[in-house]
Amino acid sequence: MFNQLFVRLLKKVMVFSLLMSTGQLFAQDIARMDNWSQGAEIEFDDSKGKPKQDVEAQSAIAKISADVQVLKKEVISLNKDLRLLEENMLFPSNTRFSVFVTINSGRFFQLEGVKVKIDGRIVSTHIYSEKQRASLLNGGVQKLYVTNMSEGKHRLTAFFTGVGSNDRLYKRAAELEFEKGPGSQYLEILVTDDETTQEPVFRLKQW
Amino acid sequence: MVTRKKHCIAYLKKQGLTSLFFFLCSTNAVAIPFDSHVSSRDELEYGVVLFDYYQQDYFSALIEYQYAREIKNSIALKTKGRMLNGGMMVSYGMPDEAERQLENLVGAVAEETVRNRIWYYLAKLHYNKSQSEKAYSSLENISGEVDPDLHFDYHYLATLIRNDGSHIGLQEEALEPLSKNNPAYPYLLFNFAIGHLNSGDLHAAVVNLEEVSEYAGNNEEMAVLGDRAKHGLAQLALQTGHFPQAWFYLQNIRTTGLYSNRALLSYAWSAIKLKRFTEAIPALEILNSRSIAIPEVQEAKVLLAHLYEQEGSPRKALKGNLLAEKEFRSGLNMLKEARASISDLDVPREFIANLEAVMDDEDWYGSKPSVDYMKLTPFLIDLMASNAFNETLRELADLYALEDNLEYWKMQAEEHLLILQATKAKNMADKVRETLERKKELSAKFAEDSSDLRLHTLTLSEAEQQRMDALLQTTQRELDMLEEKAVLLSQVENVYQHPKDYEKIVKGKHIDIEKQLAKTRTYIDRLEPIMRDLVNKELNKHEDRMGYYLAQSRLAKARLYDSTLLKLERAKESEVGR
Repeated sequence: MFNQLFVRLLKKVMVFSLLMSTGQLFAQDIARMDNWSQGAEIEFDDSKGKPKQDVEAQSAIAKISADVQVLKKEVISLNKDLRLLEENMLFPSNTRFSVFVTINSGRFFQLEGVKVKIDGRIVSTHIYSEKQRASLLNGGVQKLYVTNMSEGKHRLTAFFTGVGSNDRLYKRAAELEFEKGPGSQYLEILVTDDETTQEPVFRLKQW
Repeated sequence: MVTRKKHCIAYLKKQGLTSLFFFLCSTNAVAIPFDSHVSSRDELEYGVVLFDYYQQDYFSALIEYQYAREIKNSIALKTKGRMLNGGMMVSYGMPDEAERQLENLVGAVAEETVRNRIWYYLAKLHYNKSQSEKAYSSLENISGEVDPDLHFDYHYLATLIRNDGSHIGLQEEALEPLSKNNPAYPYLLFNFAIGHLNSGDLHAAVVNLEEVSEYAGNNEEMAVLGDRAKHGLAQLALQTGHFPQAWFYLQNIRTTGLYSNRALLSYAWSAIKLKRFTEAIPALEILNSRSIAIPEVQEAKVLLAHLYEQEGSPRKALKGNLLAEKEFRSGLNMLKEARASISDLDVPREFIANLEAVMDDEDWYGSKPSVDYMKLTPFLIDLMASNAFNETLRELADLYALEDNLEYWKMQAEEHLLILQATKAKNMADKVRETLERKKELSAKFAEDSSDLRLHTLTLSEAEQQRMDALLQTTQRELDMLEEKAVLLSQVENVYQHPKDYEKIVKGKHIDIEKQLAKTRTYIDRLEPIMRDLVNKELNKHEDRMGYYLAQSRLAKARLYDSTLLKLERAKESEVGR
């Protein structure tokens, strides 16, 4: 087999050496032709050049895939149940207090990190990845912190770090004094833009 | 300051501009409205699903969605939420369940954009399952307005499914809203070019590909796509016999990057066809310096030695063959090592963990996942394009992630039990009762002792009497404060306690974790051998090819030795003849 292939290659090289003797004729630079394809025809086969598929392996995978799909569904449901169980165990609904982060516009500020202080105690810090920032800008909402909180007056302070327009480093804070009532409560931390001052604005809202 | 303000008002009054002044002063004081995109508690809860969804973390997003449904979130229960759930299932590799859900949903939707989106998800689902006819008919159902944020995805998928050229009529409509700087633009253009080729319109395909080939600059992804287009153009030119044009395209492909190996080899062969033999050698020399695992490099080594021979440099040709033989042997040793390494226990897991770093921030399910081939073992570059290998890697990666997730819950389960046991051992109500009893005892004792102490102070000096009085007053005050708190505590009738059957539920869920973990491991044990088998088959291909080229080099070397010996003999004979 090797000999046959070698002979084939040798033939190619012989043709090539023959052509070599006339090589000077083509020594000038070759310019690009416009509209070379106008009127030309071709038999195009999309599957050509694509790797041959391993049918045996594909059918074996397909069998396991069906089982894996069922497993995925079960694990997702189990995760949901465990989340609910854990939440009810650690944060009963009458004392639960959740803090969310949203971004409305990011023209004048790129959020790098946030730190939350409740009643004078730092309770949560978060540094944002590029993907998380993009997700917040698209309308995603981050559940930043969940805790138990007694009824009555409380104070939440959020500290923001990030980059503003002209690559200026920003450190800002926003504070809210609020009354925690009975039942589960939410607080939204919003980062938005003030178009008139062209500055970022940080707001807190109790839901 | 105040006087200055008064003067200012007096002046403005004169000018009749007082109202304007107050307006200007008040603009700073007016609070900026809370203009969040969230307008209800439900939107806030549902936004958490979107947070994971937009990060393409579909597993977490699906859990969040199920959680939102469980807490009766109104958006999650509506069509919008159910549709997103179906779409996420498609992306997370749960097509069977997604198909059931989406097909149930599509008939009940009246809104055109929502219905189109569901058909899009169904088309994508069937395409992923290689069900071309179903994918085609799902796509046919899309008509009228398509959501603007689905515009690119829809047309991209349509160019893949309707690659017979039936989508090319919509090229303008697809490209018109996209800026040329949008990374999606050249990808769509490329796919439309394939559509034109399939419909037999070579010229339209060439126009598209030429536009794509102009993309380059600092963006590596675009530069690779540009190279791919140029290589495609060169192949088309070669097939239609336009060698100079092919040569022109090939000249402009970068000598580095994903398409450089193929391009350099095509360049060398085109140079030979154009009889520009000396220009073929540098291209082959570049390839000659690259990894022996690359098929183009193997071919280049044999071809280069022959070109040297034809050039009239037998010594260079002999050296080339000797070095190639050495390289092929080292390549075969590399293959042995690769075989040994893939049989190691944790290699599939490590391979997938490293592959995630190689995947260039793109997700497995992205429409155009890009792989940094520089970081990937060269033996597996071709295998990465195989469906079977891709599916195995994807399923394995998902299973490893599920295993990690269940391991985490297994650890948490121990904590859950600890919390429940602690609550059971001594609950809060008992503690409160104990505290109140203790407080009662303290108050009674103080009441009893304070009259004795007051009598005793009468025997002391005046200064010491004052000190003692102050001490008694402070103690009384603290006891009064304690009394207030005790009243509050006694008003709490029931301290929170877990429901009675809670422990049973928690234990049941913990058994479920163990069951699912065992299932996950069983599937991993079934999939890992398939991955190993696919890799070994690929390595066999490399071994066969390298063995073939090794034999070529050895034969060429032997022939060159023979011809040298023949020359020497002839020279000797001619000397003797003289």
